[in-house]
Amino acid sequence: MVGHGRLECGQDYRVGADEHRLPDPRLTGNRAASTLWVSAELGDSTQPIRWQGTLAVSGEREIGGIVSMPYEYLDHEADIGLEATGASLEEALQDGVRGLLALLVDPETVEPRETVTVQARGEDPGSLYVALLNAVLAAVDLHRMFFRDFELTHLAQVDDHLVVEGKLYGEPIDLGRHAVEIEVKAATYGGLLAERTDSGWRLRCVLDL
Amino acid sequence: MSKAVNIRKIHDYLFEIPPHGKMRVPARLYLDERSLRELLENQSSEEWNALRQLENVACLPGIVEAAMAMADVHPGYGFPIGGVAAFDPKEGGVISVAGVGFDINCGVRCLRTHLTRSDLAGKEEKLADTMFEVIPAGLGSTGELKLSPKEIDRVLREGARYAVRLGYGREEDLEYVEEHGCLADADPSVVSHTAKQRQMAQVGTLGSGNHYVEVQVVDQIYNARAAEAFGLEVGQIVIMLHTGSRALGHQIGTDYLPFLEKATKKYGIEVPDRELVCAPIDSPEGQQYFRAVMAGANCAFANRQVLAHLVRQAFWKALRVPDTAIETLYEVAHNTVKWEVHEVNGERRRLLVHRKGSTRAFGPGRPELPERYRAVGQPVLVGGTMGTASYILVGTERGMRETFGTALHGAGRAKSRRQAKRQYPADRIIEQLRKQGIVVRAHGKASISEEAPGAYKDVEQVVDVMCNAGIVARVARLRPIVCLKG
Repeated sequence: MVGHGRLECGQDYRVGADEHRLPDPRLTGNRAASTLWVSAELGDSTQPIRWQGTLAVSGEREIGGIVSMPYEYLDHEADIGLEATGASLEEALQDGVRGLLALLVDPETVEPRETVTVQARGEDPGSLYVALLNAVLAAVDLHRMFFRDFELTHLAQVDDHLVVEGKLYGEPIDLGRHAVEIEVKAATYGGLLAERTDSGWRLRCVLDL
Repeated sequence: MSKAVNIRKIHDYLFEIPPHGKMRVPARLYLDERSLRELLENQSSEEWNALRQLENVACLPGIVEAAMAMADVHPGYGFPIGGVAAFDPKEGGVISVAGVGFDINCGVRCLRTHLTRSDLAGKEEKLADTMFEVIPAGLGSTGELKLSPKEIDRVLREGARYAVRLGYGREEDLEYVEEHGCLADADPSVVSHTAKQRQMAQVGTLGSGNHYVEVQVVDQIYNARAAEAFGLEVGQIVIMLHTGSRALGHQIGTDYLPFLEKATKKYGIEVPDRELVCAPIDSPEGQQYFRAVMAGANCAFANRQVLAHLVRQAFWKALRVPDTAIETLYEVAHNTVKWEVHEVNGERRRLLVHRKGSTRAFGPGRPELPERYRAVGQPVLVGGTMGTASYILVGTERGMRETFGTALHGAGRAKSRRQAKRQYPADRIIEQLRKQGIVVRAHGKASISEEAPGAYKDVEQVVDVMCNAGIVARVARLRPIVCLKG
């Protein structure tokens, strides 16, 4: 049985055979790294932890194994696929946004000094995912800010729609300091997938670069 | 699906997938055997497969003749990139977001100069630095033009004309831009406030990804008559700039995706891929999206007009080359939807032509062409890569008959951005290009690796296929000297 827990900063945790320590947020400047949501095998503390968070522990993805990345970039000739997984739809949506943010700019170079709220709505989890990613892209232009992290605060069904709200943590764009990667034009319905899996949710779409 | 599909060879440079399943028309691909094999074997994912995407387009209502892909075909979203499809409103034809893309009216402008290669000798680095400084590029950059909401509406209504009115470039530039840089059906009132607000600081910015400004030299002329009409000769310096409608276009696509999804359901249209959401052209929803796209297109026209002005500024600043020594040769767009009259089986029909990553390539005599080029045909601008040739081609009669006057738009990607990133470290590519005598500047770390020449198909082969098929003809080959990336 899989349960959920959270680690506090400085606490040790294990992924496979490797020991890790959650970094001090003062060192990384990453607000979200102060807690790391994990799902752990209950009843056996020696079991490795299946982690879900913003820290890349390993670039490897073991299908069906212990370590899984919360988001993954998928090969596409012209664009890029963004797949996010989570124990819940909330987590998968949150991880998807984090995957998007990391594509735009190196999050390590962005200080989480200001908060911007974004909202999105969709008829179903797939269109909600695309709408949320697009709302985040719009927020970059509208606020002239880059973001380091995203926290989903609210997900609900309202009439025949799903609505989602979350907080982006970042600061005004400073091209002298922020390590810009690439502009994402939009999230599309291309390759769209939103499905329940044994361990939660998987969301995927193609981003137009 | 595509693996099991029967692919028929029409001739050495054209293959056809006959209609099967829900396809209403055949799918046709301008490829040779080698490139067809590569396309079949090197798909990065079954989820986004160019052949399947082309077959899906062939399923859309009101599609005329065939869903076609040019030699630079590769997977996109919904439509394949390199695709063209024409729809007849009288047969229930549709307008689709995926047929235009999010970067509405993305395109290429070519500027010809009075300079020759020797005028730039030893000044390449200085020119590169000045271009880097003068031309805003890369994610997060802003243009010098800060527009009010009212002014944004004028950009959307008047396109490049408004940019000229504000002092960016010259009236005569517009003669050589598709649609003279302004589409009359544009309606700013159907473009969201968010779209306009996102654009306020982005007019006159290049963007990133495959967008670029490149200084090139004409190294070969193939067609003396067309080259003379286009004002090209060997050794001449030309400049290509590639960009689109920036955040405004992206937001129009974003806003209209769910809007058209509703319409798709309302009109009972069955789409094989959710990204292919569409509306009948004559429906209120289809009309509204069309007017929004026209507004987005005008924004792209204005953007390239401002950037052309900035290129002139950079040449003045770096080399004291006067503004008048840099003229617009032509500007083509490759993410568009347009009303055009075409002859299909002897009948003249007014069709809505979607071009997704393909270029209009009209043959001689078309009234849409500037007088100077009308006798020879439309210049077709094909962007290569930072390290390989680009081409100026010309449209043909045969292209008018076979592809709705459409040709390729670039080399076409062969490797994914991730593959390219792993395989081509930026420093190595910069060094390699330097040895070839090409100076590169980029704002984003990723741009150089992801846009490395090796990530693309062989432009020579791709151009060969389209020329051998008779859809276009070669006019001039261009070699890169200085390249600015986003």
